[in-house]
Amino acid sequence: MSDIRLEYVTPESLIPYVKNPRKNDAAVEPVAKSIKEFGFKIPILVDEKHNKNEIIAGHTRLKAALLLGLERVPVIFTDDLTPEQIKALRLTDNKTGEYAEWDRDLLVGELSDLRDIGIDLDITGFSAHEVEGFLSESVDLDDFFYSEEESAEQVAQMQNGSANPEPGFNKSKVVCPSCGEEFFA
Amino acid sequence: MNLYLAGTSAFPKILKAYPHTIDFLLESFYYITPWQLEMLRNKKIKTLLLDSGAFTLLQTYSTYSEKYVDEFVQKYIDFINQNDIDLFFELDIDGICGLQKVESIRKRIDKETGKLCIPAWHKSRGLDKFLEIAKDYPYIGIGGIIARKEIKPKEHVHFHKLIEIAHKHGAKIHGLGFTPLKTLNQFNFDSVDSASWMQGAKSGRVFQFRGNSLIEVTKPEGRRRRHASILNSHNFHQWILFQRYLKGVNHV
Repeated sequence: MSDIRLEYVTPESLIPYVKNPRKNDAAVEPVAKSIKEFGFKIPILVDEKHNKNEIIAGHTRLKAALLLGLERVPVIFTDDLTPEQIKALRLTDNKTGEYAEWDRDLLVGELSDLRDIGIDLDITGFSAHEVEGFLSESVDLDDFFYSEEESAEQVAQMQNGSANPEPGFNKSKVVCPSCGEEFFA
Repeated sequence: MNLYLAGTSAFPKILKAYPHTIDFLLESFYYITPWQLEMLRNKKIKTLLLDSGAFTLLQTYSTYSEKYVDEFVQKYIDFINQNDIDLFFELDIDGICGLQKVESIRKRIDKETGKLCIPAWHKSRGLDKFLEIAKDYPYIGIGGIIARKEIKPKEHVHFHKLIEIAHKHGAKIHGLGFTPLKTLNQFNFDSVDSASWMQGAKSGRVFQFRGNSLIEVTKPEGRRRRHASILNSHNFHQWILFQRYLKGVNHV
C-alpha cells in the first residue's frame, strides 16, 4: 500500500466521472450544510495515474464545494489502483454504506442530546420530519381509545338502553327523517 | 418515491385545517371537490394525481352504454383542461368496455388535452401491452393491485421486472394502491398511492411515523375508539410525515 498524498486543489481542476451511477442532487444541500458547519473534513478521492484528476469517490462533496463557492478542497490522490479496481471502488464506496443500519435507540439518544444542548439538528442531515418522527414519544393510546372501564360501561348502557354517548362515541345520533325520533346507530 | 395520499375528499375539516403543505394528493374525478381544487390553486396541495373514477361509476350500471362512456370521457377531458391538470390516468375500464375501447379513449384524451395521460396497465392486458406503454408514455401505472385484486401479494415480486422495463425505456412508474408498509422500500416505484391513513379509524389502527418507518398500533382489546376525527387527524399527519420521508429516499 502506497502512502497517501493529500493536497488542496481548486474544485474546477477535478473531473467528475461521467458514468457515475449515483443520483446525488438531493444530497448536495445537506452535504453543503455539513461542510459549512464542520469544514471539509473528508477529502475527495481522485485518480492520479490513469485518468488524471478524475474523481473516484466524492462527487457529492465536489458539487457541495461548488455550491458553497469554495476555492480549495482537500484531495487524496491515488496511483496504486488499476482502472478496473477504480471502476469497482466507485460502486463499493457507495454500496457498502447501504449495509449499515441505524440503532434506533442510540440514534434517538444522540439526537436528543444534541437537541437538549441547543444544536440545530438540521446540520445532522436529518430533515425536520425525520427528527419529529424519531424524537416523538410513543403514541398514548388513551388519546384515541376509552379505558376498558369506560368502554365496558358504555357497552352496558347500550345494552340496557340508557346509553347517552358523549360526542364522538362510536355510535352516532340519527334522526329519523319520517317520524323525527332520535336514535343511536 | 412519491407517496400520494388518497381518499381525502370526505375529510374537508382535516385537510382545510392542516397547517402544512401537502406534497402529493391523489383524487378521482368522480369524487374531487371544489375545496380540493381551491387548495390546489392556493398551492396548499402541490401535486395532484387525477384518477378518473370511471370504473367506480360505470360498474354501477347494469348495461354498458357507449354513449354514457363517451359523455364521461368528455367531462373528464373538460375537467383536465379547465383545471390545467398535468398528471391524470387513463380510463382503465377494460372490464366494462374492453381494451380496444380503452385504447381509443386514451388516444382521444391525449389528443384533446394536448398532454399524455398515464396508462394504467392491468395484468389481463399482457406483457406486450406493458412494453408498448413503457415505450410510448413518460409515466405509466400498474392497476389491479388492491381493489380488484388482479395481482396477488405473492406476485408482487414481478413488479421488480416491470419497474426495470419501465425505467429502461425512460418511463416513470406508479403502483396504484401499492403501500405494503413492510416491503414498500424494496420496490423502486417512482410513486404509489394509499388511502390507508383514513382506514385507520374504521379498524382502530393508530399510525406513527418513527423517523424512517411508519408503524401501526392496533386497537387494544376491550377498548372502544374515541371520536373518529381525532384518530383521522392524527393518522393523516403521520402519513404526511411518511410522505415527506419517502420523497427523499432513493431506493435503488
